[in-house]
Amino acid sequence: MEKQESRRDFLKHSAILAGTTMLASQLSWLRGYAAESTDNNAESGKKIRIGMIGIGSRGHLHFLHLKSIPQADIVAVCDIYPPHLERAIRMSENKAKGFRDYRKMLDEMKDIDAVVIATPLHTHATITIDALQAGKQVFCEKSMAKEPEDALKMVQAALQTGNLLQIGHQRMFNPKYLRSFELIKAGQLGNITQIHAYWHRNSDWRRPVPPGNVTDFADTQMYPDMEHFINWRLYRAYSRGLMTELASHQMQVANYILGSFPVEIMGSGSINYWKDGREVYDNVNLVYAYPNGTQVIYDSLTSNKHYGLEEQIMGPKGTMELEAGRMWSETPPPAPGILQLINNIEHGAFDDLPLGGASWIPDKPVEDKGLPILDEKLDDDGTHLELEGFVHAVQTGEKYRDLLAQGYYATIASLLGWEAMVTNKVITMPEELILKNI
Amino acid sequence: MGTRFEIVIPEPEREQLETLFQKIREKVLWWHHRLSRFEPESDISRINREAHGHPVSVDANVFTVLQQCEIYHRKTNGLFDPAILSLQKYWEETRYEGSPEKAATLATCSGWKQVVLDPENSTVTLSSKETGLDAGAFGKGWALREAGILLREAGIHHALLSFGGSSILALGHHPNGPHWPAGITDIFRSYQNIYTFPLRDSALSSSGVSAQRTPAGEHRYLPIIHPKTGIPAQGWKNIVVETPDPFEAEVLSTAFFLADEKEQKSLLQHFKNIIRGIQVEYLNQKPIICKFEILNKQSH
Repeated sequence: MEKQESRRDFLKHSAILAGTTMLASQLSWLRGYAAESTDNNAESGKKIRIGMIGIGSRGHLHFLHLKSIPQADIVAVCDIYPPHLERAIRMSENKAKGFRDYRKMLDEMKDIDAVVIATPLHTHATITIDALQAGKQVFCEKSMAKEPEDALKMVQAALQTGNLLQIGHQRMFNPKYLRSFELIKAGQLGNITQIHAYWHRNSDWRRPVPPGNVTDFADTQMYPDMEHFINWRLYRAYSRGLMTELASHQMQVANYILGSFPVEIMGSGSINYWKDGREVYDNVNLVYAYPNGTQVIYDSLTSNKHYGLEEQIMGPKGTMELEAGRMWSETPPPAPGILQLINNIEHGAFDDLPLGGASWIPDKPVEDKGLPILDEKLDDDGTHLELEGFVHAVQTGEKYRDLLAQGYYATIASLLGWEAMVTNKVITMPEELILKNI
Repeated sequence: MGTRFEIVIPEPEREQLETLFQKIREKVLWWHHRLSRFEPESDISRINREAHGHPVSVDANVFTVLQQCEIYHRKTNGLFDPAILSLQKYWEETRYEGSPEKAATLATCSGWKQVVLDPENSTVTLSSKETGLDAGAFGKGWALREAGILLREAGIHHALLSFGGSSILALGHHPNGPHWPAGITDIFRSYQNIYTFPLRDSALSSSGVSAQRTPAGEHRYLPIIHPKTGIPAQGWKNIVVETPDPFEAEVLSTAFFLADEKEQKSLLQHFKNIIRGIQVEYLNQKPIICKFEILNKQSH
């Protein structure tokens, strides 16, 4: 694996720390980091015993991250698909006990402190609620659930049991994003007037289906065949496609920046390219209206990758592109020579200044690549840090309820977007889905 | 105009300055929208698109600028020529590796000699399809002149205006000294001044190969093209000219850049307003400065 930004590196990153000081007072999961900057015992404390449920592609990545975190001890792994399960046991050097059924894991291994869930979307709610009720602290991959009501039940279960439920939105731990949030909250762009987010790919989003009978692996009630078992993201019984797998990340960022959740949603989706029997849209296009009149425009494609992935944040003073980590001011700062001149005038000085450019610049269109949001390029997209944050919270008993609310409203925004497209109606945020106690 | 425009006014009356700044901004943008060949509806774009063999009506102010271009084209003996767009495009498209013969052919059928101005109707006709206009060598100078007029009308006597550092206009002097000290920087060491012009109610313009950096960190070669031979300038050279008028400074920096020694002497004889000028040539990336012999000693 590439070198990851560890919590210590993160703390050493002075620009980020300076940047997050203000945010830390607002975001519970950063307070832990900020507190540790003065705590030399950051890596002490008891090891957390972790059971992993779902160790496919995303789960495997989490497994690798957790293995490199000294306070995390992966004691159990669970997957209904034997090749994934065997890989995880092997990579734990046979230290982790393997299970095919998570209920059995919860029953047999009472001393597990926490579980990390990275199963298909339609199973998140049941597994999460069972784990919370079994007294476990839970990290669950985004999105939370396939139905808004299930997401609400997951939040309620966390509150009722008093246990931690953290949803995998790694951008909330990504230093580049945190720095952006800090600059935006400090008014660098002015009041945000529009967000345009998109995620474009050019691929069928399919995984190869291995030979075999699904009954050898999975509960036959859930999947009729291997195609549905492996490519569950393409079928409505298990997934909401691009909305729950991709859009929820970006809706979470939009919600956080706008300090709210959408109140009205309209959209249109279709299958206009990958007509291969899939049931979820291969392109989605939505407008989300927020209470202050700001709109988030969202689209995702699977038939063109030219524009890639981006969240464009716009205000009267400037623009940020968060994925690219760059920002543009509507009024660029003065040239260095002019700045020196102004300083001289203000301080009563009179010096020769480098004003005259030696260049003849031809008349040409402006190509402004903007300024970096962070000077340093980081390897981690926040995934490692969010798992460190989870382990830290389990150690310290933090509950991160504000982070849970972020995960919840990102899920709700994605699911209501789906509903707007399938019903072809403008959807208003239902009162019963608004959290009253977070 | 594809570059940064800055004004420094050392006056305490902030409220008045905000309004004045907006007025200047509007004026500069107005000229940008009239003169830029990258604005599809600018007068220059319409001329380039529609004036081949047909008279195209232009705004009266723009026509005045084009008349000034004609006068300076003549006075510089054809060295200042803003009608060689086809040559500029040819060299850009060939990445400056085109054929000198082809360029020479283009030079014979392009240029200001193919531009016909009709003052009665304020129309422009281009008599060759190879001719096109580009305001890159005079637009900033004209906009600076207009901005200077607005400042003086508003009673501002001391200010410094800069277009990307290559065109500068100084009104009055620095609040802490007798002039505005405008340092000319080394192409290869942008932090280092190699010569300082003491500007006072005067303008300077710089012409040369661009020291723009590509994303890969290389210097990009953006030379001036000789309108008579069609050949891009060679080597690293920079000309800076100071005159009272920013339009004239811009025209003359280009003309001096293209002129040989004899032509430079001739220019100095004809343009009595020149205050001072330098030619900087780079040998092994080290600047060698040559001051023009100022024949007119009456100013400064």
